[in-house]
Amino acid sequence: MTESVSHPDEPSTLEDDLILDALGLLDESESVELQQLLKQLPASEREAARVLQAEWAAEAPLPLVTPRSHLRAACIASAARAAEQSPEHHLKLTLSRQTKIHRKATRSAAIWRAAALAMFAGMLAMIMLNNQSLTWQEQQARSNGKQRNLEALEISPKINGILANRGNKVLQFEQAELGSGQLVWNDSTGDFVLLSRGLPKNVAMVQIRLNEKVMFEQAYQASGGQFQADVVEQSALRNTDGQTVTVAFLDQDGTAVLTRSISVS
Amino acid sequence: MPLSDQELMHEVASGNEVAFGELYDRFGKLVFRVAWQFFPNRSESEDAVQEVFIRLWRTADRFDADRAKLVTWVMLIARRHMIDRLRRKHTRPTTQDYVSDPMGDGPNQTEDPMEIRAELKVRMERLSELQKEVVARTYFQGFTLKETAEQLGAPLGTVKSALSRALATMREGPKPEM
Repeated sequence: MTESVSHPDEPSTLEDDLILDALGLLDESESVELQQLLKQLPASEREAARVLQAEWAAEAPLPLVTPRSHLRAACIASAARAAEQSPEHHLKLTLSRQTKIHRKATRSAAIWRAAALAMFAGMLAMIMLNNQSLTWQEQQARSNGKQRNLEALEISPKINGILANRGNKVLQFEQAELGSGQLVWNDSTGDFVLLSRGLPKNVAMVQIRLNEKVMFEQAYQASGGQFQADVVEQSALRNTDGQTVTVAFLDQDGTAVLTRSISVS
Repeated sequence: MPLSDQELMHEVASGNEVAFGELYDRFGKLVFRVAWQFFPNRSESEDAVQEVFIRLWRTADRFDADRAKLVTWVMLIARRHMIDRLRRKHTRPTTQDYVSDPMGDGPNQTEDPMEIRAELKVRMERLSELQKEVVARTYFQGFTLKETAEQLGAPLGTVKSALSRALATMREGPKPEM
């Protein structure tokens, strides 16, 4: 619907765009374009733009209202509740510990990384499934190594979305010189994420089976020593309680290279 | 010595509750004002502020001090959250919600909602007709600039410049305390 309001044709300037961006009034695509444009400017002009935007954000024309004093505590309590309910909770603890140990290390803990690390926190509990002969210290050392590897892995928002689900189930597989990985699935949605590392080059296919029935099969190209992550949204692994879930990596002839099963309880 | 923007958000991202409290101390008022602009009643504004701070905590590790100062980042997150919330409600506030509703509950028992609204009304009266329309639709009701341009049959650049200059005029009123 178009309404008639007279308007002089007056194009916007860079300053207009900076002001509108500072107040969250630009579309996200326009905001990104503006950031790209700013990158091309000399450092002094970029800094001037940053200062202008900060001034506008701090002194935006807003109602002169003051929150009640209890709101501070309410915000902290809300965040604490959200943290407890989030699968990232354990991860936050993990990150805090890492921060203390590596205080001067480069900081770039993104949310996806948090989710991935949370998954590994859960996996510590699952390690008993196939590492029963290892001492606790050995398990911890292995787990720490995996965490470092995961930090180098870029996980897409889609994978993160699946990993962030509460109540995920995990099947960890690991075999000397054959690689390792995890199958993480959500019993409600059936979606799953397959993470692997160091699988042999002759792996050509992966199968996910439920009580030996193949629920998912796909060509699989192992990426050598690197971590790789694959997301599958096929509702293939729903309601798995009491059933046996198997992940199997096969070579070109269909011969199993690495298989691991778990009875889900 | 206070933490820098980057240090503060680092600590917030690490789950440091003290740092989270400091984040609220620095920006709680600002976020509440943004919330009130979209949801001019106390309980809804307070709910929205809590949601924004959870969002700030969740996105803390994406903050890049080289790209923007923290106040700009907070404003962006807050306003985008309010627009998302507004769209979920399927209703938008009208300008009247801010300038003439004597029945709404106040944000603070010590503040007079009528006074708040009258002050905004005075600021808006200084604007041209186009500026009033653009401010009402984009700044208060959360329509995008493109939507507003289509609604008014005006070029996007004109809407942008009208809005920017209208906000500059409105900003000339009493400045809020940080």
